[in-house]
Amino acid sequence: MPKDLSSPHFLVMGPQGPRTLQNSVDYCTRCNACVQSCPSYLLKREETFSARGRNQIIRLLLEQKIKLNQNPSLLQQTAFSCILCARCVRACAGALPVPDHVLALRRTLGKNSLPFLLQMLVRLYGTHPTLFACMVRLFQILRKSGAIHILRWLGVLQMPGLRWVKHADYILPSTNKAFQKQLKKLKTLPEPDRADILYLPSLEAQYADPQIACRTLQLTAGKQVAVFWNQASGLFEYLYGNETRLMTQAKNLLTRWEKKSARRKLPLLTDSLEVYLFLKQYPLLFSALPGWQKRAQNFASHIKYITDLSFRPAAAHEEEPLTCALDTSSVLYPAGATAERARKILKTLFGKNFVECEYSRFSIPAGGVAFAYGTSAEEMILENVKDVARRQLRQVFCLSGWAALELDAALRRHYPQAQARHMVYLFRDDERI
Amino acid sequence: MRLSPRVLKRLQQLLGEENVFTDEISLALNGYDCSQSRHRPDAVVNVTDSALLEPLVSLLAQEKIPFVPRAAATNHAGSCAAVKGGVVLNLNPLHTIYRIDTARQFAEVAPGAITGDLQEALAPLGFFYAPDPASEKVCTLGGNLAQNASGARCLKYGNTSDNTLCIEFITPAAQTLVLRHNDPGPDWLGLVAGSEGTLGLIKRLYLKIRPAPKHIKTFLATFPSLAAGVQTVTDLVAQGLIPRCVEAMDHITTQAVENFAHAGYPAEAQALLIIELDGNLQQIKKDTQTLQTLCRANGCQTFTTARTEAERQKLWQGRRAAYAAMAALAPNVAVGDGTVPRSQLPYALEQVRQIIDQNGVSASLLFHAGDGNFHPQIIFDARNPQQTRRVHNTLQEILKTCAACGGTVSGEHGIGVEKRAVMAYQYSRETLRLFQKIKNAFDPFHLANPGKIIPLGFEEKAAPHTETDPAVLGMAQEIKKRFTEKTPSVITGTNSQLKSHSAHLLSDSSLNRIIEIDKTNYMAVVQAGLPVQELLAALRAQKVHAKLPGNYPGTLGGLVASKAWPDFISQITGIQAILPDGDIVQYGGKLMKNAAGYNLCRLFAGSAGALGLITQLTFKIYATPCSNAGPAQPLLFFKPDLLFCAVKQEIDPENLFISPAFGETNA
Repeated sequence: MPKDLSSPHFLVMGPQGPRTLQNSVDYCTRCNACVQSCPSYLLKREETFSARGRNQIIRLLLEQKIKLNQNPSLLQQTAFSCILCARCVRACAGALPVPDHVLALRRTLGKNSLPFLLQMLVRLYGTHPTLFACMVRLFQILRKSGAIHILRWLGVLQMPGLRWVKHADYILPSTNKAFQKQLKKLKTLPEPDRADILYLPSLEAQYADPQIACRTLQLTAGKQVAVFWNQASGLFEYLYGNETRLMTQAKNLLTRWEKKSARRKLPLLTDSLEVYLFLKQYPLLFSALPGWQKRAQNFASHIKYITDLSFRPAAAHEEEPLTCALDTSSVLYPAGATAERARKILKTLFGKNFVECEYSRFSIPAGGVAFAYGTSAEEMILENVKDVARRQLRQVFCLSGWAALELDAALRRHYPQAQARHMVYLFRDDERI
Repeated sequence: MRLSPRVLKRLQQLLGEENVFTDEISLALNGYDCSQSRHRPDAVVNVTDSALLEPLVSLLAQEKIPFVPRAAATNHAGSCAAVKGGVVLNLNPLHTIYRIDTARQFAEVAPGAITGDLQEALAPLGFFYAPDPASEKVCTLGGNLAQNASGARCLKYGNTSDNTLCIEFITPAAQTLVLRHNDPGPDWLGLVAGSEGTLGLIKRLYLKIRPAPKHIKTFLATFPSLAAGVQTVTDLVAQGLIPRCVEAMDHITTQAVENFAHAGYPAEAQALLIIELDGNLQQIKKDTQTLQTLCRANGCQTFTTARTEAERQKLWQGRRAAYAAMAALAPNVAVGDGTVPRSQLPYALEQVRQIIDQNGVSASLLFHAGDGNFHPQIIFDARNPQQTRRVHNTLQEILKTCAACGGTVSGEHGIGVEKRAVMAYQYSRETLRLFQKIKNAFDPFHLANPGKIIPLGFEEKAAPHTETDPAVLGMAQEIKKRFTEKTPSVITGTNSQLKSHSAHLLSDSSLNRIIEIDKTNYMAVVQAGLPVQELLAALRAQKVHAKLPGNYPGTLGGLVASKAWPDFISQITGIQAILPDGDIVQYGGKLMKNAAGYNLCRLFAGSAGALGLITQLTFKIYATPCSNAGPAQPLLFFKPDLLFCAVKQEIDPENLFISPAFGETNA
């Protein structure tokens, strides 16, 4: 893991093309146009937790005015309180890719960036998916047996390294028969000889909410689908982990896609907005590897998100439609056209019951990326809940699976009148898988 | 300077441990703003409750520790850089909008409240807050007043000071004062506006809000030359038609913006104006006709009207993208904000283009055509020291040109630490000395945002005032003589409201010339000893009008010094005065905006002759009649408060200028 931020490997992609980290950070004119769009700043109202502050921290580190070991805990907080929502990118006159800057800082902070156990899980997911699945299973058993409640009662989960468990506990579904049945059904799906479309299920669709995978498969009705089970996209390594492993995972996925699609260049469908946006960034990842770059560009042009498919959730809403809104938050870059398509779908379905949520705070990402620092994630999710309650919404559709899970968990606790669902929930699950 | 553990402990006890930071990262992150200045403070504190401000300032005053108020830090002048170290007060947590009263048309806000948030809160109520700085989505209202920010709408609605009704203000000695424009005595609120936190802290603001206009119409007009564009604006103002905003771009900027934002601007236009009218439908219709006629008369090439909201937004898209167009090209953008009298704008812009070309830098040029304020946006790479030096020189030369054109080095961004040195181009040694005295009076230990506004070593750098008018020179000599002899003076006009029996009367009746009635800039320059009635007759003869009372018997100077017609105070854009020691000071001129230095117009207004003798005033005039009904107010007797006494002590330590308002003692 590189310890030196000025390493030329840290390339970031802005509207002007790839730049070195140093060059990109230097383009920040400190105009502060980003400040009111930064969720962590809006909670803390301190420069240290603003997009401008993070840029300046990296700049000062690069200029060696401050050192990595000077105040590691504050650096950790600053780097991990950023939820990579990229709203600052939209606000910035020069469209600086601040989330990329923060990711570079996170990687430089090294192995301490995540609690040990979480770090291990991230690593396992990429290298030993079966073992990862066992760990998740173990966690579910612990939860069912009540061990987690005992740990919480004993205050063990309040310890700094374990706070994330408390947070993750809300998301991971308890093990039940229906869940296991569904998961088994999905995993035993036969792979067609000649596929029309490839599907890369997200982590949440595989382990937290198999309904997402089921309903995504409905979207592809009439087509032969090959599912890439246990295929890591490299997203988690990109966000939290090691660059070598990230590149290995990315190369694996790219090669698998090429092999599977042969010369037909099949579309690769994903149900997660985060994964979609990340896969679209592959050309940048491979920018230093000339042999791979063209292949990555070709790959990126074949990535599809669920709203790219013809989306006709017919007969799903015979009953009176409830007031709904769309949460477009995600890690990495803004959803743009993807969100626009989703908005149109909801508008057509719900008519005047669809509420446009332009209020800035509503788009605080509900995604689970911040669970390393559960307290600030908790505060942000509460802001989301408040907004839902303020608007008297009954349903919130999210483009990101993690966002839906976290927001739904929070709604269940604080505002049970409303529920948050992934966009694919617009389909019924009783149809073909 | 490092803060002692004892002081830190006291700060922690007051604000809570979690709100006091001394780590290197926090210090470095609170030592900059949008300018190139970076200065590391000694501590940063979060102020989470406005009630803590007074004890905090009191603590810092006791310990003689400098403090720098800092909110969004969006200014371009280095106003919140901790030049002398000390404690940075993070006011961002104070962001509450306490109250919006639509019946009495005001909003009560905390200093850290965001301007854009207030606008958002007002919009559903059918109201708006007039000042609209370009950074309104992120800048704070306290910061706006501290910098006296304005924006595109300033031409019609005035700057932040004009739109502030009242403030709660904490002096560096930790005394909380409530300041209003119309209080008896000098207009302290007007003086504090634009003082960049060097006179104290703003604790709470009461802002004027207005009913939102029902209709807004936006036009785009292109002209064969800048002069033609500016002439159109002058003609508009002369007709009494004050647009909601008039934004302009030159040829090079139009091309750059069009390439970046594709707003549909004609790329061949030498000058481009975006003009916006608001009001009721009938009025807009009438004004549109006038506007069209004037544009045509000045050789307008294209005249486009935005028919829908989408078209209107498209017209603004380019103007809004102007900064982004430049910011995307280079790591750094230096933004100037020199302002010149409107009539000087074509000449000044030509000079500025020459300076930019000579120095070999790249810049776009935007300007608020209505008020002569222009923004050269120079792009550069601060990592290249040679280039940075060239940009620095370019900006200095541009500001020098502004000062030479009778303008100001800052129209809306303030002086801070970045433009301190160029203050010497604009102001004489005597005027800068008066600024220093004002600072000393408010803040004798230089604790409030020290090292800002006043240039270092100005006694050597700034030129002495040169005066050619024999009457003013004569008066200055007489006052200097009295100063040497320690003879007191009581200033009287031709018809002072308060009769004096002093043996040392000093009449300003010899200062009775109308120096200029400028129908290009729509400004009048008049000596203060001229009776108001004579002035009104002269204006009538010239077919122009001013916001003066129709029945005031005294002189113009008397009217201002006694604040007898408060409406007129905001009309004054320039002032010349003689101080009790015989120094002649001059501030402002034919300028619609001036954010450089302390506003002396507001200091002398209502000073009742105790701080100096007003010799000359520059004020706005209009082509259409102004409302001037109603009697002038009598001079309000006021008990000199602490602020007044402190300023008086600095300016006139011998108490030689005795105001009849306090009852003279030397008869």
